[in-house]
Amino acid sequence: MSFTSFHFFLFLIVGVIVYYIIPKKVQWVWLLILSYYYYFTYSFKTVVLLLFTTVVTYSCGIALEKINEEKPDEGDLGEDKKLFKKRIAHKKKCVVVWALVLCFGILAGVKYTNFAIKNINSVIGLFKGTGRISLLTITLPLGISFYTFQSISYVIDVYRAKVKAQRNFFKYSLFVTFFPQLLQGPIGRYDRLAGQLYEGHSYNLKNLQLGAQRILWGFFKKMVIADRLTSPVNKVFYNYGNYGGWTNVFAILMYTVELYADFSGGIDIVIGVAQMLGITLDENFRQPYFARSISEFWRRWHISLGLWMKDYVFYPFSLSKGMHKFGKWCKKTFGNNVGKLMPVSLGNLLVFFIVGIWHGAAWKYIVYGMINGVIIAASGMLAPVYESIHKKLHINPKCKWYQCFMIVRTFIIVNITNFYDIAPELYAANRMLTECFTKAHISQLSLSTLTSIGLKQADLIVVLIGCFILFIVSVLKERGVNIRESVAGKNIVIRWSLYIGLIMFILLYGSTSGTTDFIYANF
Amino acid sequence: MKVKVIAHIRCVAFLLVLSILIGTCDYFFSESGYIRYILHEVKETEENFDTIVIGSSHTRCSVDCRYLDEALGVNSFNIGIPGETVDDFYYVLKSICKDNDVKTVIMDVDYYYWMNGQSQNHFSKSFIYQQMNDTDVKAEYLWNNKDNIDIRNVFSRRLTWKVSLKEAEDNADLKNSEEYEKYEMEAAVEDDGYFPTAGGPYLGKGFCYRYRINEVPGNPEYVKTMKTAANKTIDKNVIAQFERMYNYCKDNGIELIAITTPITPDAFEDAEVDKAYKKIADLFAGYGIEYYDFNKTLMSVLPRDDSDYVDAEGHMYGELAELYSEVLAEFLADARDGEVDMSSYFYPSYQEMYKNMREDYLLTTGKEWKEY
Repeated sequence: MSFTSFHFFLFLIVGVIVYYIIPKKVQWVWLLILSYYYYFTYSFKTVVLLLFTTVVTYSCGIALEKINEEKPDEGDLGEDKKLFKKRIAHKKKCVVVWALVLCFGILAGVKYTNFAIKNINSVIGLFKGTGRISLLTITLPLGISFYTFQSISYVIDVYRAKVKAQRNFFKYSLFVTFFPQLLQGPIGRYDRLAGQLYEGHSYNLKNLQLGAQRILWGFFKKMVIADRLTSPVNKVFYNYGNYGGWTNVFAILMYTVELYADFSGGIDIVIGVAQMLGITLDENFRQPYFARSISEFWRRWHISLGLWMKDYVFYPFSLSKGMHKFGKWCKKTFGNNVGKLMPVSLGNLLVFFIVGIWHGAAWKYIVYGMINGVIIAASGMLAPVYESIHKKLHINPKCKWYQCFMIVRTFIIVNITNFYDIAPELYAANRMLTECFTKAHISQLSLSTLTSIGLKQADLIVVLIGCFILFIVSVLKERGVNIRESVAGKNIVIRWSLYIGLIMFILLYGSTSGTTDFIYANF
Repeated sequence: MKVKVIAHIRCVAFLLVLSILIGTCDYFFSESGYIRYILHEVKETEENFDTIVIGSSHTRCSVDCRYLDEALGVNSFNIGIPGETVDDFYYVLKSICKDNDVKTVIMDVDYYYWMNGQSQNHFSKSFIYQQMNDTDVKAEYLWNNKDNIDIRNVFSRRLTWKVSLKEAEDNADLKNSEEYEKYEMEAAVEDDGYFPTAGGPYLGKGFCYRYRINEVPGNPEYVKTMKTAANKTIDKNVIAQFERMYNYCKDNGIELIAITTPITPDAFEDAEVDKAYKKIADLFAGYGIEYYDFNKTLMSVLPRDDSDYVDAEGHMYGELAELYSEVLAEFLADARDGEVDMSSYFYPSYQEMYKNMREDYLLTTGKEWKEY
């Protein structure tokens, strides 16, 4: 049920009407029904895996809660209490490990088995072996990466006693499957989302209006910008042998715009739908292409994934006993600065390794993640060097032009890493990146280069107008202007003109090429 | 309370203004063409069409219903529409049956639509639906296609919009014309009767006569695409769509006959299209439907070579279409009377046809065989 389909429109209308008609205390039941119906329309078979993850994490939550409630015997002395605590900690760890193994096991099984087989076959080939393992036919359940991460975050939060376990299985199911965010996030946190899902909401016209407004903005990004760029981007990247030089540069720039418009547009729709139901989801983007460094970029791009990694991978890893010891050793051997930065850098490398494979089962994604990790780790290590360069060259890093330079620099790096995201394979990414320089020719800097890859002049104009609007909105948001509220506060003529203008712009200039799937809905 | 009521009234007013704007865009930008007139012609006349030939572009330019009327004593109509899918067949037929007492449906099977499934993209698939007038049929279409139909095409005719001032001017002129108001085909053809998208004049009853433009058919590269399609299996969704039409015919006492209009012979052989038709024949046999592939027609009965077609894909020129319509009509009459001798119409197998067609063509016409 694509967001642009008539089915979704009907589903949403009926869903919202019934939601506000029924008593508040059963609204969550209706949401659960809607969520499973929504998932069923995509896949009937893979719902088993969704249920499996739900059952496993629900049970682990309950088990952890029970362990959390265990208390030492009143007569226990200090030593016994220590032993008790140790036993409790061990039990809790066992439960979490089980949850991780089972949930990530399923995720790895469906997503990475064929990748592993391909690599094993390559190794066999290296040693001139004759045996080959056949690839398996596996249907990748939609949204598995998102709901697995969301469920695991719940288990770890219960483990840390940050939240109480949900004892009602159906209520917990709703947290895992809440339909707007099920396929492409944002990855929700139990402490911020669950309460809103269960508490019930009164009908509020303003929520409906603001939700619809946000959905409209998402459609604008998706239909006017992203969908228009899909075809030329695919043409270049899937026929990379025929192109090079500036064509590759144009293609990667188009992809960078497409990816943002597609993903953030999808998230706008998700957040808008949730808002219509009175539920506020976490924001997933904060003008990422205005980031001044790669680490800042990842704090602005796919924020919910970044925070997940920070809370459940980076900190536990960097602050672990092992890392603490390793940091001490580094401090002794290489000095204070390295000793401090080493655990952090290794933490970043681990995080971005996971981010890489989270994006897909291919070496190019691992390289994609690792490039980001290495850049972040290196920029941490080199911070004192930068500082001394700034001093020597009398550069004030806070001045406007230097800030602009940093934004452009980061944008270029993001584009370079994106080669590893969109190219069909690692070899293609390397080759295309190299050929940006080796095959560049002044003659490619013309409009005919774009038309040759299927971006007509009219498309280009529409995309440029779309990007300009997007840019202005981003600048205003960056300056702290709450655009939606400020539009809502304008007089009716301006407000209606803006809304109707946006709708008509989407109708008139939205792509009609038929692409409707969101890139991140396949994760 | 008062504020709340006003806010809701404003919302309704907003939607009203939006509807008016979209309606205005539909009026100025939405192109009107063949489908509007042909659907009206078959539905809104006093005549009753008891035999319907249903198919896609191949059908429109190959079956002249006057031959069927004469040989079978029926009143038939060719509702072949370029791009019409198996899914569309059902809705078009249902719409026609609301105004006609249809006894027989002759379904022209183009393998390409059966092996590839929905040939149009998500956005363009609703082009016939957009021109239909029956609310209940449209509602059924909408419901059955709710997952595929783009929201923009539900509330507007966005699919057929051509956004330019020139287009808006032309559309306004057209939509103000008497022919348009009366749904006359004249509104879609040029002054001399030439129907641009059909490549020739409209001769009535849904048949367009294509003028010869080349000695050899164009677009030879298309054979690769044909071969890929022919080697596929029949799309499961298409089978379900066909079954819906089959059941509709069965429930309404309509006889369903399946035929295939012959396409460019060399392209047929090179693209191994016989593989597709063997699968299709097996499918129809399972439903007990009579199926006749006229690609196998003897060269002595229907002499043809590649030069009788506009393109490798198999859209026939008017001369061959007239001849084919005559053969088809005679065959169906014989079949109805139980007097048909298959060997006097068809080659016993595709292999036999490939082996003998060139020589038979030479023997029948005395002309050299021309390839695409």
